[in-house]
Amino acid sequence: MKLAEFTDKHNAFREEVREFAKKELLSESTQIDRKGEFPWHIINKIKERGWLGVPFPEKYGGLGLDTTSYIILVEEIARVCASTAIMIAAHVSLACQPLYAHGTEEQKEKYLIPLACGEKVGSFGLTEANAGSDAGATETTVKLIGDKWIINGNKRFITNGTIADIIVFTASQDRTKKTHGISAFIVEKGTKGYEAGKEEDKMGLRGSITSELHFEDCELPKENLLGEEYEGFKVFMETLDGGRISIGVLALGIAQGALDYGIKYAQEHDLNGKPLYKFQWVQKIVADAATEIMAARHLIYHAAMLKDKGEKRITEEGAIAKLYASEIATRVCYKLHSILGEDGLTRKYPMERFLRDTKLMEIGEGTSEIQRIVIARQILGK
Amino acid sequence: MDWMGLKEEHKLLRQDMKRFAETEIAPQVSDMDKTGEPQIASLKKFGEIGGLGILVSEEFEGAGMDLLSLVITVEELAKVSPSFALSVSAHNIVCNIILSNGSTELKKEYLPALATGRVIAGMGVDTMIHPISSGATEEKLIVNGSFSDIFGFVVKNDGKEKFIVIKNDKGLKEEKEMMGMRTSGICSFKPAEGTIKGNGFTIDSPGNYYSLMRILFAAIACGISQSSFEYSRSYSKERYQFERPIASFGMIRIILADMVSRSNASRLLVYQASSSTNIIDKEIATVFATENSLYVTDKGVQVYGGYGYIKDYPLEMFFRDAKVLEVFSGSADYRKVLIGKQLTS
Repeated sequence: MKLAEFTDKHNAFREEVREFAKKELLSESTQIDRKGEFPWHIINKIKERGWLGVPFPEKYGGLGLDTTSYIILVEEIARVCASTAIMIAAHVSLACQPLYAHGTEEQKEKYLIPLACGEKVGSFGLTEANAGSDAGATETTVKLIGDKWIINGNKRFITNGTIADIIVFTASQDRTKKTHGISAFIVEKGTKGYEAGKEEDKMGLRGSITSELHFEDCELPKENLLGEEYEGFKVFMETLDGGRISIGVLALGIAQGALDYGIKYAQEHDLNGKPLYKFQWVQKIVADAATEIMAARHLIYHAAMLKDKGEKRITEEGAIAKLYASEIATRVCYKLHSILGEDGLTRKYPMERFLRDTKLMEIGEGTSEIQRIVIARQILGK
Repeated sequence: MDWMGLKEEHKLLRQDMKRFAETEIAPQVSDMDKTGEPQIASLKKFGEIGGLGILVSEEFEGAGMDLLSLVITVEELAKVSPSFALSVSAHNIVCNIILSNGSTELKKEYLPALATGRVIAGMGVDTMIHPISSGATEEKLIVNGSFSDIFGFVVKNDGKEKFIVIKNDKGLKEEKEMMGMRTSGICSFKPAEGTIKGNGFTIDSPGNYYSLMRILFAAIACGISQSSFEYSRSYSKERYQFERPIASFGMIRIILADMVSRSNASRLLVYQASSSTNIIDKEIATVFATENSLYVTDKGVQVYGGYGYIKDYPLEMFFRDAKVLEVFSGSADYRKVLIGKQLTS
């Protein structure tokens, strides 16, 4: 589907990514899930194309395209392999983006450039075991001693954790101040006192990495503060405003991938001697899925275009897009699954993977329940 | 919530089954789900306490209980391990076909061994694409296929059904890599011509096995839903965010209310259907219970948040197992068309 607002450049970029996904990724995605190993060989090819820095200016190592183009990239990759897509999403919108938006010129030079050009992998450490929806409950602490920041604490559920070279993360300078006591920092792999920990054994996205991060008396130089002191909450709230669109488009891509397979299956298989697609119950499933996916696509790209225009209502519209896309994606996968019968349950077809993968989109970067709170606050006021 | 129609014996049975599930199965559920290793030792033990011949009369060393008792058994097991409950269901279905339709010789030869678990049976399951009652040489899906001593399936020839049981000394090899129900040893099997000669037996007109299978799958779905709700309820009270248990938030309370409504409604339909002779009641209960178990497990994962997505917590497994069950019950939408057809013909 081509939305009226897409430029020729957008459409050409989508074609390019789609071609790549078909040629390089389609035949690999089942194995990536099954082995549960990070697909370095794929990421290396993506890196060569500059796709780990799509929306950043060329002077910072990026491709100099817009957010919409980046969202197109994630959609087309997720349509084939969500494990690969979420790695890109975490790298671009959670690690590069806050550096781009809040970093000093020196920080951009030192961290954003190697990330955006794909030399290094980025990650974003916000969530903790006891600070999920409630990020203000951050227990990781930071103290300024002399001219060093001393960090102590643990992060959990961090995408790209063990493979990340550069990690943007949050820590509390004053826990009594809750959200207003939080600051954001940058740490590099190999820094003394910092270590990535255990990887999670997940339902889906099994080719992607989700791990703990540990800080034990980790010393960081003063210049590793990102943004202003006590403004870490603002840094990550803004980051998540954009991040939500990435998660939404991941759901959209997965749902579209599921629909692609559902259609193909219904056209190629019979039930009791009649082609599946001629049954009304199959038609209903496919028609409902196509309708919901189309609606989600409009919401997602509208939010992306708002971000490109720098409009503030992206907080609300990004949350709406993410909430809707992630919820319909789970529903669509459940339903399309039914068309395949038991073929949908085994790894012969990717349908069961789509369902396992998409469920995270209702959880990551704010559960659906949190999205509803964000939306309600924007509409009803705090 | 309990149904008014439950007798004292049902309640006592429930307690026994709950105890068995919690002491015997619970400690190893998570590991076995990961490795997909079948719970053979537990099945044998379950046979020793009489759980593998619930419907089999005492004359053949069974428990001689009613369908509702079997439903309660399967439901209780499913609360801990849906996959174990599926294995037990498959075994009991084979017992029941032999009991209801087998010759006296067959009953004497097989039922005592089956009812006590000395012999474990597998059973072909029903899916939309591979209906259990399909042609003699078409592929079947066999629950317990990888480890059972015998397995049965139904074939249809010229409109007539026949139940075939085959000895399975070596175990089936074509194991299906399923998204859920991973310890049930689910295999595909394509009978060759003359497979059974000297290697098993057949029963002509296997009777209403179909409806029994349905209602047992529905009972598993009820167990999954109820357990998912109970876990989510406890978790919501223990998990603090914003300095409050998440159970204190309206958004979570709505989810819990939806979960318990659907879970309770499913159970009532299933209990009632298992006491009814009307086949369509069983169909309706099955579609309702299996479809709602998808909803309930999905929402349970939401309550758990990130912890719902990882294998260290129970919801992740319930979510996957529920989907397998819905398909084994014939895909909800497909079944609904058939229900609508029966209601209007």
